[in-house]
Amino acid sequence: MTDARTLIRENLDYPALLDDIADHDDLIMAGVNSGEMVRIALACEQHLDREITDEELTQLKSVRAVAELLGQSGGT
Amino acid sequence: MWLSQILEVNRVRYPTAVALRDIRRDVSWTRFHDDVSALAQVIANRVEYGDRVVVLSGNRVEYVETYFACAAVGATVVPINPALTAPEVAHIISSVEPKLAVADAAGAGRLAEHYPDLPVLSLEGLARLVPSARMPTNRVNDLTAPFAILYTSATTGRPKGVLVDQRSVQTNALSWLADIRPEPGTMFLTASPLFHGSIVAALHYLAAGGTVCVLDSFTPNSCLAALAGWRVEHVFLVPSMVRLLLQTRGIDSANLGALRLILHAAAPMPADLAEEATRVLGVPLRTIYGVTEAGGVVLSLRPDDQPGPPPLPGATCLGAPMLGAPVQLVRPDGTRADDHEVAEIHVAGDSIMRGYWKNPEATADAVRDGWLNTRDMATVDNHGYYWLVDRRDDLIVRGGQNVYPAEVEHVLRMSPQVADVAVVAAPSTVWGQLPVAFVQPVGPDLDEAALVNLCVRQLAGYKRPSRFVRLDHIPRNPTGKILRPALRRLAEQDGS
Repeated sequence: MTDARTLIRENLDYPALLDDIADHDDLIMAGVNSGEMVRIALACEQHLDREITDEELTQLKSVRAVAELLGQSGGT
Repeated sequence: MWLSQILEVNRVRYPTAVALRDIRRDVSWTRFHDDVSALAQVIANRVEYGDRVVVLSGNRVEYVETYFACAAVGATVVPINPALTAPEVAHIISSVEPKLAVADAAGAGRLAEHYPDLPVLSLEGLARLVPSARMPTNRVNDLTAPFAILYTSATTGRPKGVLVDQRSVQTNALSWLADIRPEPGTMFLTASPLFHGSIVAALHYLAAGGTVCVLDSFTPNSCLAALAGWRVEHVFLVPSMVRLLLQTRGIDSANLGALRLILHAAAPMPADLAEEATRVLGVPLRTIYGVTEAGGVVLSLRPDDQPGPPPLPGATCLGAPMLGAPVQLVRPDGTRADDHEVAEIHVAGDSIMRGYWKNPEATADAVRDGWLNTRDMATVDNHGYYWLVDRRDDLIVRGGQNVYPAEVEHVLRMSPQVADVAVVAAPSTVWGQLPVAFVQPVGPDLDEAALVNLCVRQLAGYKRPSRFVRLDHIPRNPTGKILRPALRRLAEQDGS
């Protein structure tokens, strides 16, 4: 199972930023920019091999949310 | 005056046609007019002529209505980027001293936390106001009344507010209508955030009697769905958006039959990307060059223009001046440059800003004898086409968003572990450019995580450096100026 943190880390311009972000933290408020969020969403689609819905996209705000979308129980 | 005229005229001409659209609702011209009237009455009851109204919200049609309502009663709109951090928002709030805010739920929460005395209107709630056919007594009877203060990233450490009036919007609109020629009913998609200076493009389509479709936020899928589902004819994108759109699942099967024109700006479009976009999307691209301080678009390269090869390696063709935007190239000593010479782009005309908000020194530095110095470097070829050679003040354009090194350097210098710092652009396939920070540490160690945390607290995410590179000394010339070209080369080598 692809780890949500690995997926997010691979799509950050500065991957170490993720080290200080807890699973439930709001990614934008923690410093992830909108461009990186777009890349994370695209990577989720690639992993799921389907388009993600607007509702799923709206919920995609934290490591935990990414993990849940990918079908994982937790972010770490 | 200009915006109110757009409402009045188009309500008569196209009463049932759709003026605004987002994923929540369509707004006819009649409803648009009446929504704005109702909101204008609410605002007029709370602010005086010339007072500032800040808007902190994501995209929705009510955001556009707020621009019109403020214009109708002579309030000055100050749109704020929701991605800004609390200190960045505080800088704007303390500078403009707003009497009222209009915000979505997230923005209202932030404002209530830090500015409990600032009255806030719910942007979501505007759709529930009882529409009114009667506009409040118009307190704006001249085009030079302040209309908006648009905050740009900073060349000197702190963001500056660009004050524009309705004459600026009108002049740029008439230029746009003459050159781009949207027709009544033209379906235009704005994929950019509505706090951005590109909002003027949406206002121009409304002036034409077109429909402005508002994307909540750009994602490749939502943009593709809007282009196809709303049968969009004209769209404004930045090159990074075009690249991401082309990578979207379903791009090959999407029905984009209505699409006729892609306008792109904010950063040079790589030739291979332009070719791919034209081939895959099957529509022409039009380059536009705009500057917030110039009130909008200054130069435009039409799809049928054939500028030929670049006169200098790496130069990007920007096309010819728009009507109403005289352009000249000027040497550092203030004299006019000869053809083929590389010099700074200066712009004149009624669309340039009235000045930087509460910053007469910066205004005097930027505008002299009616000419705005964009500080972008260009040359002119034999056919009269302008070619961009270098960006102003070492500007970094990350995915269409401007990042000025001075602002990032100002923040990094707050760190006790930074002796000196320089931020430059490194090339990026996806974003065009990314900021890279070269840091000369005070001691033997450099705690990158602490620097990142500092940036997260002080800067919007798009301004945060993507890399930190340690240097024993930041290279400077004998007068102390940072040797940025050398650092840009280093950033390119280091990242490749």
